[in-house]
Amino acid sequence: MNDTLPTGDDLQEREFIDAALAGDVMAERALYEAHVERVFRLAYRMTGDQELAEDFTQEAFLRAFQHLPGFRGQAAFATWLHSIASSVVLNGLRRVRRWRQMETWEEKAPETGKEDDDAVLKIKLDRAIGALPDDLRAVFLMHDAEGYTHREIAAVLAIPEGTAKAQLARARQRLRDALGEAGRTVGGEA
Amino acid sequence: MMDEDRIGRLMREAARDHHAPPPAPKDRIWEGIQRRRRAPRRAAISRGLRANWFWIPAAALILLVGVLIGRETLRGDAERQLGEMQRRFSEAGRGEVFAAAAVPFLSRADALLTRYRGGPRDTQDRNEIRDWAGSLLAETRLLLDSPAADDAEMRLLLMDLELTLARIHQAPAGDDAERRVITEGMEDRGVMTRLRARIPAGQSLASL
Repeated sequence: MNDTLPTGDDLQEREFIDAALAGDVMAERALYEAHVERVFRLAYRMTGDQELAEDFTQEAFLRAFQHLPGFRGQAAFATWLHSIASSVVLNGLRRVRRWRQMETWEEKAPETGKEDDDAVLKIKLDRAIGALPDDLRAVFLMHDAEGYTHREIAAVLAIPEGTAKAQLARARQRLRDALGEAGRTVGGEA
Repeated sequence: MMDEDRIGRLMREAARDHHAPPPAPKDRIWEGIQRRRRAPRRAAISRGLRANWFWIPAAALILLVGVLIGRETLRGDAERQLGEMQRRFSEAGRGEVFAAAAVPFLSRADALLTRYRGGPRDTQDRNEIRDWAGSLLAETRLLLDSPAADDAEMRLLLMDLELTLARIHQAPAGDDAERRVITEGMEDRGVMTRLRARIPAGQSLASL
């Protein structure tokens, strides 16, 4: 699978970074415009909360601009930025949970219909995704919802690629388990 | 039971629909970034005052004097006021307790950064440093999540440490240029100086 994080025009992006380092706010805005959608999407996927997602996106860009002098271009700017964003989101989620139970859509959604209806199974899956530990949920949503490659996930979360693959497999297995009997396949695989 | 195709399809759809994001409100987020960049110092001062070590004992002393006066003049209320003072002092001192608990962590971080700055001796040394950085990175995130980070300066230090440790952990093996850049970044932001200022004399592992 090809990498999906925006790489932009490398040369132009380097120029924007250099200009941003020299204090050019328009260059910062250009970098922001190129990447904000993906950062926000990740924050929203993980939180399901507009206000938190905006706050985490702000924090990620603030920290990126603050640390921009240390960015040398060894990794792609998008990968570097997303590693900051994922750190902000995962830390922020832990902090938020200390103060309030996160409301989830599934608590409001009634589970009606036959046990193996697609609609009922999707509600079960949605609940199970929300109940995954943050690290597994991040990997699952990055890969299956946002289309990151294993290599990108590994770089962003600072974990080996093999670990990213293993975590995705564990997340999917947990979702199958959440389906109960319906999650067992004809071939017998749970 | 269902077939593999159906499970795969349901999982893909559930992933796609889970917290499906709306378009990013780009202008609002950008304005928020600019607003926060304009006022970081004011916020830091405000937070600093809240957690400043001077104000904690000062507030406790004022409370204590108040309670003592109260004991003399309103003996009936003294016990209640003393309980209130103890509660407030306990709350005020909580961050201090966590800050003290952070000292061993800061000592280990100091030792790691000192070793990293000197350059790894061999591959084994490099691997140890990378693993150590990963372990300290996890601790840094826990501390950021604790009352120790209520102190504005400590919070900024932990955020700088978090990024430095993440970069050390991710740095390609044997890339001396990357090590120089990370080291220069540390020096530019005064990470080690600020770190050592938090470690009481005689408790630094790096000096051993």
